[in-house]
Amino acid sequence: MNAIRRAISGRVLSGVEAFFFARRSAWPFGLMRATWAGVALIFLLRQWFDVTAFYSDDGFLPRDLVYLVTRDDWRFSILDYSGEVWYVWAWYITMLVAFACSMLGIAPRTSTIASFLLLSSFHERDAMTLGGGDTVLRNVGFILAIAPGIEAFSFSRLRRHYASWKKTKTLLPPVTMSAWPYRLLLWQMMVLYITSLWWKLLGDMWLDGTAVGAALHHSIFLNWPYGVINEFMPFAAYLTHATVFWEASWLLLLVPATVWKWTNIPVKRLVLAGGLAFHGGIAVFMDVGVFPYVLFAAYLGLLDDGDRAWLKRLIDRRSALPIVVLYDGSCRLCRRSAFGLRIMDTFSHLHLVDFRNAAEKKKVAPHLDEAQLDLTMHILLPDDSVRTGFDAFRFLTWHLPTLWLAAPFLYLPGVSHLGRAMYAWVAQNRQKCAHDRC
Amino acid sequence: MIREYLRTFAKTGIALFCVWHMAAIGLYSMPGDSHDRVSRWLNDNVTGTFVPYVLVTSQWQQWNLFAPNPLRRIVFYRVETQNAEGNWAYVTSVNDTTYNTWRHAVIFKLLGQVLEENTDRPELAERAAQMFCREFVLDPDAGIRIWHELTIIPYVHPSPSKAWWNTWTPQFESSLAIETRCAS
Repeated sequence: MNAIRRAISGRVLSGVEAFFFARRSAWPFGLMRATWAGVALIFLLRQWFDVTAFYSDDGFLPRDLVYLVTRDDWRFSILDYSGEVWYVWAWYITMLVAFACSMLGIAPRTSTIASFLLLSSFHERDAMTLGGGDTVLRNVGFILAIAPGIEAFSFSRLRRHYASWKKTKTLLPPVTMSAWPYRLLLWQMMVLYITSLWWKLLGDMWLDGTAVGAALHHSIFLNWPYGVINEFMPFAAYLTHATVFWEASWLLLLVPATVWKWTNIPVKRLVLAGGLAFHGGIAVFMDVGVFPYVLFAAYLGLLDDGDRAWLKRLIDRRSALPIVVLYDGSCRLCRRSAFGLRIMDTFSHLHLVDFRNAAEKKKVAPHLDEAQLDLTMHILLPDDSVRTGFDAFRFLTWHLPTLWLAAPFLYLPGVSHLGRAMYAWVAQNRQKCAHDRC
Repeated sequence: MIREYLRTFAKTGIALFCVWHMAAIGLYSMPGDSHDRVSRWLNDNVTGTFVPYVLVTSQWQQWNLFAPNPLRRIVFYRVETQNAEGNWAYVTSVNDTTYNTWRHAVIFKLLGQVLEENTDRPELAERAAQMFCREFVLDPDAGIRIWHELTIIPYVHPSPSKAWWNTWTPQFESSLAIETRCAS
């Protein structure tokens, strides 16, 4: 009997251990930190012209009236100590700097904690301007502030990567973290959507299909004239019910992931795709502040290596891979550029080869002459075609997600002439760079 | 051995904290006016335990956005000032074209709070009036009047057609929000 009891308690404990402490990649949380901070920074900058009106004693809510709109208990705000305009602005600027550092990953732990605390301080000072998106900013900020592993995608880590690259021509192993911050985030999202559904079920309009039609005619939130919005009214009832069903679909995430693996249905991915469509639609048609954007940031934290592999398979289907990049290992600028490509090569599309290493070069490009390679960067495609210089770089941008947005601009008229000239000048002068400085 | 104990201790602490946090935000977010007995009992007897934690960590949240029903009241504002002869003159309308896209939703949220939702707190409306005096450069000691211009998006079931919406035009009704004097 004791043996059975011990076996059961052992299984429970190992289940709890796996639930909270299984190792998982930290890149989703690093990416979420950078996006969360970037989104917050943009929306805080939007308040630039209203900072005095919203948070100082010269504004709508001087400190002696704060008690009218908020609680007294369990409340802290650094802005309670003074309502002077200069004081408020000093903290506002400090908050912007903290968010900028968190976004870039400069001292990510400190800057993220500072960002969260300052944001909470501002929200506690004047809750009258807050919407749902501001709440999500605080919810995600709290989880980021206490989560391990948020240094992924940070400037601090980039420097350590570079040190490793210089020594061994390899990057550091990926950061991993315990699963518990992911559990907290997933639970937060489920609470958001499921209680939102619960609230909706207490009314009539979400059930009878009239809610979206009414919401889209609220001119305070609406981004479009009624004439445009009315074109969508034949779908209003469907959209209302789709919203209710999609919010209910978050309940499916209570079912253990192993069950869904067994059925081969990518439930989490489908639910998140629904979220992209739903919040994307809201972002296009309505101004509800930071809400859709901060939720997109939170979705990034819900991704995992399986999602990355799925996305890679999807993208790789369109491309012949890998692409061999031949660079000059004797030139510091080229080594740094190769490091930059390696860092941005999220989906491992590139095979970087130092053409000064004869053995390596012989393996991939025996037919190319070193003197020719010395003139400019060459890339070799699986069909044996070769691209060089600016054209090679432009081709690579389609394979490096961080450069996807820039890629179309490189095809604008005149850009290729300018790019080729700049590239030739840099290639000619690249050996002048020494000690990591040009 | 000691390190192993410490690690187990830390892991137990983290797991308990996670369970606490999950329970706290889950219970705090439950609709306060739901009618089922279980959530009413939880709200009355359990949620209070978690409230200090939720408040002190600024994790307060209620996800009643556009719910139970979407907001159907649209309120704009009309500002008037009293001239030397004692007559009221139109100053401006604060409507959906007054502020740029970046600002209008948040400013209307604020104005809604101070001029509409907290009618039992006249200090807030008075303050808003003084802000308007400054924004629209009204004379010190001049009289100022702020009117609500209210319309309600109709509730028509089943969901109306495109043709029906095309014929709908908002009809606004005025009501006085506050009448006061600009600070001298």
